[in-house]
Amino acid sequence: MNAFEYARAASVAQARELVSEKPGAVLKAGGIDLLDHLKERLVEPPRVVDLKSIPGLARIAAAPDGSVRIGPMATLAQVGADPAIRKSHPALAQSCREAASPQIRNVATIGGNVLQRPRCWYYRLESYKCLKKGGDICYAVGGENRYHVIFGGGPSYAPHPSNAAVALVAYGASFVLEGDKGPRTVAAGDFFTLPTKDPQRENQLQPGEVLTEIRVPAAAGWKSSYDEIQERADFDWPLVSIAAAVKSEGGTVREARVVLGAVAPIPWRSIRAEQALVGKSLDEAGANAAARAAVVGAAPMSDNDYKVGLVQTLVRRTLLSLA
Amino acid sequence: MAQEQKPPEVPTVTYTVKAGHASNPQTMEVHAAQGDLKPWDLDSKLRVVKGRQPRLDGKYKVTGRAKYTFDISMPGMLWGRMVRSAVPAGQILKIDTSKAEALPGVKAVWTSDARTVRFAGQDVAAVAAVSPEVAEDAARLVQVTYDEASFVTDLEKAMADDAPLVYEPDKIPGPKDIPRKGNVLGPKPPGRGGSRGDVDKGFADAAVTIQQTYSVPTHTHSPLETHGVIAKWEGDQLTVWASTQGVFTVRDGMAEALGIDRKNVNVITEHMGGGFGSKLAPSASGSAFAVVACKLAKQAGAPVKLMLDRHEEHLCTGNAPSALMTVKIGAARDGSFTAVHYRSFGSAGIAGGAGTGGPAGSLHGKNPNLKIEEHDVFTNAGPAAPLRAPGHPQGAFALESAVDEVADRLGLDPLEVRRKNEASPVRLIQYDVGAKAIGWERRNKKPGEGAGPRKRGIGMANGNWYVIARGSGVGAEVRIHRDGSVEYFSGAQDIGTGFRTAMAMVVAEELGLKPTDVKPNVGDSRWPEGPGSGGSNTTNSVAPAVRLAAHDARMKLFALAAPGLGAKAEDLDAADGKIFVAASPGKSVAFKQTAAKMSGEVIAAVAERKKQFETYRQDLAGCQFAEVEVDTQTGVVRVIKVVAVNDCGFPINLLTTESQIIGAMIQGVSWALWENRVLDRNVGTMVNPNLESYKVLSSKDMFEAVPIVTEIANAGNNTSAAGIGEPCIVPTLGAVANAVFNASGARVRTLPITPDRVLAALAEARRS
Ligand SMILES: Cc1cc2nc3c(=O)[nH]c(=O)nc-3n(C[C@H](O)[C@H](O)[C@H](O)COP(=O)(O)OP(=O)(O)OC[C@H]3O[C@@H](n4cnc5c(N)ncnc54)[C@H](O)[C@@H]3O)c2cc1C
Ligand code: SF4
Repeated sequence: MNAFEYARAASVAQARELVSEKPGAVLKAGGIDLLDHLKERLVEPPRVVDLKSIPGLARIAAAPDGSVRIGPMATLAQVGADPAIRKSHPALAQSCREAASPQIRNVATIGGNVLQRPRCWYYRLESYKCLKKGGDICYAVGGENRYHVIFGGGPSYAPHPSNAAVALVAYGASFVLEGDKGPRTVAAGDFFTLPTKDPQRENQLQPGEVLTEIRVPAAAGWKSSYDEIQERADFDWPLVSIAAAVKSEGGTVREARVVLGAVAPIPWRSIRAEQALVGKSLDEAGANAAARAAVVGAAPMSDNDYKVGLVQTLVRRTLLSLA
Repeated sequence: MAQEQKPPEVPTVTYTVKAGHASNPQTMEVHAAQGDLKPWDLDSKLRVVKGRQPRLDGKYKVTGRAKYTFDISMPGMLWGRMVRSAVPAGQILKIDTSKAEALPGVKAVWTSDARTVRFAGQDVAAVAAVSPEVAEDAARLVQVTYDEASFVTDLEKAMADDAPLVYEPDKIPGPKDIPRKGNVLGPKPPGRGGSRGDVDKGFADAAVTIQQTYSVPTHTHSPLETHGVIAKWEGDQLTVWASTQGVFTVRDGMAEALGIDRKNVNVITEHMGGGFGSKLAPSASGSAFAVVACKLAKQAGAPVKLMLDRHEEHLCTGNAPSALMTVKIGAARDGSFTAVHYRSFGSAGIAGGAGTGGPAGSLHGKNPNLKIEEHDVFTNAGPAAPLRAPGHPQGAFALESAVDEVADRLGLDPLEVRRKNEASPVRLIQYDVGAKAIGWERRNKKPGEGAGPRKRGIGMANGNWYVIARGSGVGAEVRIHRDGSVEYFSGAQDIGTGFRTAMAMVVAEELGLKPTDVKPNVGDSRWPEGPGSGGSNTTNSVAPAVRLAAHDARMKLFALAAPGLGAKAEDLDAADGKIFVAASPGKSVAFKQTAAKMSGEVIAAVAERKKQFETYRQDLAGCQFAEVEVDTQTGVVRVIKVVAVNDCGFPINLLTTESQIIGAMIQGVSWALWENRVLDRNVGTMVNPNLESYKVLSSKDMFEAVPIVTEIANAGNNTSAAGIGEPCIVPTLGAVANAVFNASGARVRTLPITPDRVLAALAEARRS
């Protein structure tokens, strides 16, 4: 890594100041993703501003109405183990518990998890100057793309890496971002952006903006679950993941959310699968219909068409587990 | 490694040995060199050896007090860093180090003379600087200009007629009398076991014939401690702390490369963080980094520490070759083989030595007709290095998968088919032991017959290895001090196998002490010579010398004790810290008390290993049984249990022998299910040079590992020890693949067995 200055911020305002006065300065939360970037020189910041020193940013507050406010500095371990969240938003807790490994979850924050950069192996190595790094080709096209996307690809095909984001989109969460013009709130479903907009970015966080809170609305009456398929049991990324939520009445699904992870450059909400469920009962036939609908429009690359089958299996299994 | 010279004819002494397995003892005569001891055998009453002794250095390892090469640091030390080729093929036009040299803190710079680049990761230049950070910055400032050439990294593409040539035909490494065409060298003459009989006739006689092709990708050793050294000069005296499997190999390699005398080089390896075969070279198979570190240290006039990083470790320190293996087996209805034709192509990158025919040459010894053809295919990738039974895990995976396919075709029990063709009495015992331990009768009679999407199944496979030992040029020293303390010295290194503990057990056995009473001194080239740790030969090369030295010390001590006990030295024995008259153990004297009688301060006994003599078996047998669960909807495989039944002669320390077997099972399962070096097909560089996307088994993937040692009094040397480090990984890959088939009906012929391949194989099984 390059030599940089290390600064501890005492407040969000000071963090923003410390970043804006040094062009190229970066924020550090747990540092899991940032250190990988530093070590591989994907970023060479003049200054690293640590958010850990800001009081109160790791707080988890559950309101009586069932909604939850999560400080961005809460660790994945904390969110995964939080009794209120486990009860009110089980898919979110599961998504955090399934990520990475225990050591990483003890350090990684939920804010950093949502804002981490993709894991495409070309992006992660300095030597490949790909589109996401301002280069002019995508090496995954015609290259080693077994872990890449089957939805929403182009011109970059790197899957969005965050487990938590998948669950947050499913629950209709929103992010509070503090920038020059004060705080703004953005729905998780709008926050993540496709590479067609800008292949170098995965979301609409502006330079110097700090994520200060994650708001998750109450999910009373919903049944929800997160699940994933991975090659190894631990220390691994999902090949495909899902957060699904359904609200039923008298055995009939009234509302549904199906969000897929690891298959698109953003958490991939499958409106088709949701529509296929509404008005049906959550049985084998309903789950199968949703599974089929979920892969309509899938565009696998040369080496990853297996993900199409995995999506169907995962959609079917997860929905049936909610019956 | 010192050249093994043909041992001179020596006078011998004949011993009658009760050899083999306790269930079937065999009396045999061996002709040991005069002065050697009668080998421990089935009649020996051993008090320490074959027991379970926790590692003597265990507490240092778990408390962090054990210093690995990585941990060593000294005043004034500089940090070295290599610059490696960024392209897979071409010519280096220019190496500009001026900017690096100008960086403050840079003390020395080295550039390679080689101009032809054959793989991405080759040595180009190096720097030494006052801190790792400055060294890294300096390395990045070295500017290399290449004239890039076309390249080929894929095994099958390299075999094509129009493939870019990795070497001009006359430069291909390998014997000149072997046919060569394009990037392919072979067929090579069959190695051990060889070819026999007439396969054409055998296939004509067969009731059924199967032919299938199997493939295994390149696997990297991935030891936790990467390769590295610290080089320090004092005048013309060079000391090298090395993470190596061969301190004497490093000594000789540095002396030769630097043009200095071997006696002026001292190499130290106190603790070593894994090698698996990759650390047998003086530096590494694809890098001269250790020599470079010595040169940088000389140039800078300061010690230089040069540890490779994880990325480099994957690129240039060796790997297990990829392999593409076609196996044809003809069999009679009862499962006995009439012919086996084994044909393999493998790539060791820019190196030769990608053969995988060993298991075919050794297993199924009753098959009368065998033909083995092996080919090396050169590719623009880092050179391979020996990896735990080189070529054998790959070969056994292919061969033992094919045997299962024969059994399936004939509707026979796969274990019965193996029994029919088995020539080793040891493996016949192991079949029963292993089948019982796994519950072989629980396997699916029809593959994939289990209910539900998550299906369990059991499979097994065989493996083989050889008794390899260095019979000369190996020594040991045992010292007894006046205060009764005991230590031994062996220059050979403990690469994590528990070597130092095993040798202490041998000393303790002879002296009637506990292993914890013996201080080990290993891994220093100033001490008696030992072999490089390859071929599973360390224990069985060194233990006989240690025993001889300990025995000599014992007799010297007995001579001191004899007068007081009113007996002759030959009539004494030692146990539990006492020396006593063998015939009347009540007459005894404490070991310590006897030591106090010595006239000087120390009794030092030095011994040389005597020649290897007759063995009960020259091959090491093994078979493993795996139980897996296959999720037939996701293709995900979980290993539930592996039972490994292996033979290693006499295990000196049963506990660390079992550790070796458990480690091999882990590495083997990891190889079968995950490990895969991926080189970008368009650029030729590795996309997963880390331990995140180069996937090794994670802690949650750990299965129930059951190591079972088949104790064999094997003779060959005075301890009856053979080897274990390598043989126990040979069967694992095939056992897992066969279990996946038994569980699900999916025959996956390409490793690793990833979800996509399982799903594809299931779809194929449904079609047929
Ligand atoms: C082997 C391995 C396996 C993994 N497996 C998984 C997995 O299965 N699923 C998964 O989801 N993740 C996985 N991860 C990723 C890991 O969870 C993330 O790297 C981690 O959550 C990032 O959190 P952090 O706090 O360390 O972020 P940091 O590294 O500190 O920050 C990440 C990025 O976010 C920015 N940032 C952080 N906080 C803020 C904020 N409050 N406001 C503005 N910007 C901010 C930083 O500037 C940086 O760019 C894995 C990681 C590893 C190494
Ligand atoms: S998928 Fe995206 S990140 Fe990966 S190589 Fe292509 S452009 Fe780069």
